[in-house]
Amino acid sequence: MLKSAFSHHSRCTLAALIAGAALLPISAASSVPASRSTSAAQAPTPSPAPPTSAASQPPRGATELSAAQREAALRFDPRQLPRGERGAWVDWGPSVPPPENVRAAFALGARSYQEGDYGACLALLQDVLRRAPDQPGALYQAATAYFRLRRYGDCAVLAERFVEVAPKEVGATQVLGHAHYTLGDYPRALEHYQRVVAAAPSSVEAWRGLGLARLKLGDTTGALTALDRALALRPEHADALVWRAQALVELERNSEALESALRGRDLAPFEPRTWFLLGSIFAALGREADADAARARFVELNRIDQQVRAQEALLLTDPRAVEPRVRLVRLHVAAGDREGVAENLARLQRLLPDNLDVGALALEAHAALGDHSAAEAVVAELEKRFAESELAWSAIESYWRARGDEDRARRAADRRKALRSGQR
Amino acid sequence: MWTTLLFASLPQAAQPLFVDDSQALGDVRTTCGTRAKDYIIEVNGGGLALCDFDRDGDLDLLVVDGSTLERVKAEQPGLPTRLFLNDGAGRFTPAPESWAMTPGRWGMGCAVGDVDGDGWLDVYVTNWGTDKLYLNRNGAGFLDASARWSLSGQRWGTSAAFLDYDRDGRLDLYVANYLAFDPATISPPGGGCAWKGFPVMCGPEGLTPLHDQLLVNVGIASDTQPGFRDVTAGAKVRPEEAGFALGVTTLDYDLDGDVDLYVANDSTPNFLWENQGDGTFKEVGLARGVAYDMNGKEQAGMGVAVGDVNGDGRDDLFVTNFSGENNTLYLSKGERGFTERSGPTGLAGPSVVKLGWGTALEDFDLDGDLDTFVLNGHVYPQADNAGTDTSYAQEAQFYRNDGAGRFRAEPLLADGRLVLRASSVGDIDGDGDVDIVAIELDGRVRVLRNTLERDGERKLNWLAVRLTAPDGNRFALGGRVVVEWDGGSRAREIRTSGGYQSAIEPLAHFGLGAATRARRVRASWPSGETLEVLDVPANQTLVLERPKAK
Repeated sequence: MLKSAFSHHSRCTLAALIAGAALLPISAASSVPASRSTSAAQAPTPSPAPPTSAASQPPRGATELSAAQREAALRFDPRQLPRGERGAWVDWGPSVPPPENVRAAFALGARSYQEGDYGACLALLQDVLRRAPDQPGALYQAATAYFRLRRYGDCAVLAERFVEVAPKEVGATQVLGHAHYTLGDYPRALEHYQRVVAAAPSSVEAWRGLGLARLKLGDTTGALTALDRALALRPEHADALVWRAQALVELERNSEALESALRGRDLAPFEPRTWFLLGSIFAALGREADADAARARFVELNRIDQQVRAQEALLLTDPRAVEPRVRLVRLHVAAGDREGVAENLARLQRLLPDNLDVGALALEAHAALGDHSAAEAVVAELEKRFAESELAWSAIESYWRARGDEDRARRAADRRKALRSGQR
Repeated sequence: MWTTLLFASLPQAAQPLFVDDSQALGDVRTTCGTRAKDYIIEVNGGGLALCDFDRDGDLDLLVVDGSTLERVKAEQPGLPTRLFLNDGAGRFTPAPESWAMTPGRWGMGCAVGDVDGDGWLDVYVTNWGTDKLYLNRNGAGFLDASARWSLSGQRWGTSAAFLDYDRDGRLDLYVANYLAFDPATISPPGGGCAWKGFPVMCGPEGLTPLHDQLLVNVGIASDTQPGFRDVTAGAKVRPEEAGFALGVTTLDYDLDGDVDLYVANDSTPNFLWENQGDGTFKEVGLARGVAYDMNGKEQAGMGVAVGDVNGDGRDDLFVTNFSGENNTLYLSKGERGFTERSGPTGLAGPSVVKLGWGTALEDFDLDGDLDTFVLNGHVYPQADNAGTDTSYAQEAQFYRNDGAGRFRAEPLLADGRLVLRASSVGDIDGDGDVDIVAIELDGRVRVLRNTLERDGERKLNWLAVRLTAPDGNRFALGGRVVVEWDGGSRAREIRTSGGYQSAIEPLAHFGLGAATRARRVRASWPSGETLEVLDVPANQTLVLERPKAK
């Protein structure tokens, strides 16, 4: 399984954005792309799409794409995309909309990306790039889609083209550094991150990437400097804190490492790697009991994380699959990860709006996590939307009974029985 | 692709250090299922051993062959393991019929050791099916002693290692087992298993890992004695969760005088079995930093090599892994364990897009430090599809140590990309440098000759040290040799395990650089005896016999 230092920690930001969105209408949930490190929000952003031009005839919606079209897009080698005329996009900037004939396809591609439907995203953006070769926005968005699909070589090809045709935007291309890094080409990653931070000194992810690349290349002191820059820009960056702790361990500054790792743990308590590192740091400090406890927590979280990764891999190729998403909810419940639960419930709700099973799952999950304010909000939604459902009242009854609220449990039971007997 | 670009700017050797000497062995091939690789049983390939089985002073070559599912369905035995005898100049010819080995169901890997203490090296062959033990009849051939030594069970053995864990002078055996494989219940490609969006063969994830085994050697002193007895549970070598074991090696990581074990597991955490000295082991992989990579991710361990890469007197561990993961170097911190330093040593980056198997840590260029190589090749033919960031056939890599513990990647061969698997190493042509033999999946067994001295001009020197004992553990597995010379020193353990599904000769080989003599050679036997020899001329194999106990 291809793993990336940049692919498994992107959940937190998204989760934070949509936390609490369970059982709200889709429109209330954030549509920010599912990546912190490769976010299209950090890329040159396309203008809102105007109505589709009849002449271009793109699909009216990503859902109209057939499985075969998605499959063909995924099988396509992006190196075969036509090159644009030299200098064709020299005046391009983030505020420049795509050409009229591809604007709708571009917008749909971007939306597909946001929905995690990378096959549709690539089908649409490849169409854009055939009709408007090297259109920078499409190059960038397709590069990030390839990154999300863990196709780092393809990501690098398109990101490099983007830098070539829109060199002024290099500050937004940390994804190219991430791709080089993930492919093991640390010198090229280092070089690119340096270009990015030179152009965009406020790019947190580029500073973080620069730190990681330096660490891989043995420049531990330089890595620490870069990670400190990232943390100066975003002090609550849990992952940067943990990598900083790693650098400090390598410099044998274990007490400082512990402090940094503990801060990272507090910000992202379900990240197995943090506990793994804490185990090493505690051991180095001679705190064997703490080391054992940290390792035990690591093993517990890592076991769940393995299963999470397996389900997420399934969703990469079939983002609308429901079963993996349900399993993810349950896995995050097992870990005690409220953000993970909220994120996946929100996704489920977008897939299956007004679905009783999703509501019941949300109630079960929030109850298991002891998040009673969220659970009670779900109860209220169930009562409102599924007032005529025996199953809904059954779930509500179980919830109140587990809470020890016999009065409310009895009322729910009465309602359930009434529905069963045909009374209203 | 990236590695090519990266190293285009670095100084390159004029040509690779190794050449594929197709004349040395001829067209010897192995079989491992069909080329379609529809099932996981078909992707791992066979094993190799380079040892002097007939004791004529040169290394013979043992090739473990596999089978096909068609043969299995037809209830035909697998293809036999074959021995090729060395003519002394590094050319191999099939051994006479007396060395023939009755096949098991599907041969995988091998271990070599003198299991009956007669001074002749015996062979253990792992199988998908019942493993096999072949006793060496005083250099006259092999005898299938599997039943007599109580080998039973139907597992999928991969690598194995001989060791004397209880220090009773008899060689015990650790068998690494992979997974429960039943073609009747495992889906072929298209049955729901996918990699990067492509349907591929299933496993190992989703299949059931098998526990490894520790077999204690109780000998054959009477008709009722079993030879080997399974003590896995009693010796506490049975973790709560089994791993998908592929590689195993012995080492005394904490230098406490007893032998420990390291197991490279596929997709599951690696094991470090610390010998407690009382007949039991304790799994300390996580606590000692060798179970996961530095990110706390379990990797897909394949092959494993042991050696002191930075000259601090402690054995380090090198593990080859799956594509998308780096090969992993764990530098020893002594009894406190290890720290991963794959990136800064240059071993990580060039390995990420490759899938590594056979490996070893040896001083291939005789400059006084340990180099390594990695045989690569993917498990999925589908790796050649667009967007995988890798390929099925891959370039084998040689990693040259710069003396400061940093490695530079070079092509191992000029032949381009191959699908390689197991390897064994040793000086097959007696010229003092260490050569490699490699298994190409569905292809030739390749003899990779070290061309360090191709012009005949000897500038670099070497010393090999063999430890012997008049009885018991006669090849001194677990012994230790320290060689000091003007400009350096190195310690090496005597072992026959390592790499992937393979065995090596029980000998410690040292490059001495320009030094023509070793100032001092210190040897210690597993039974505790030590010996020191001063001022030893280079370019010889020094044989040291165990001194009498004081």
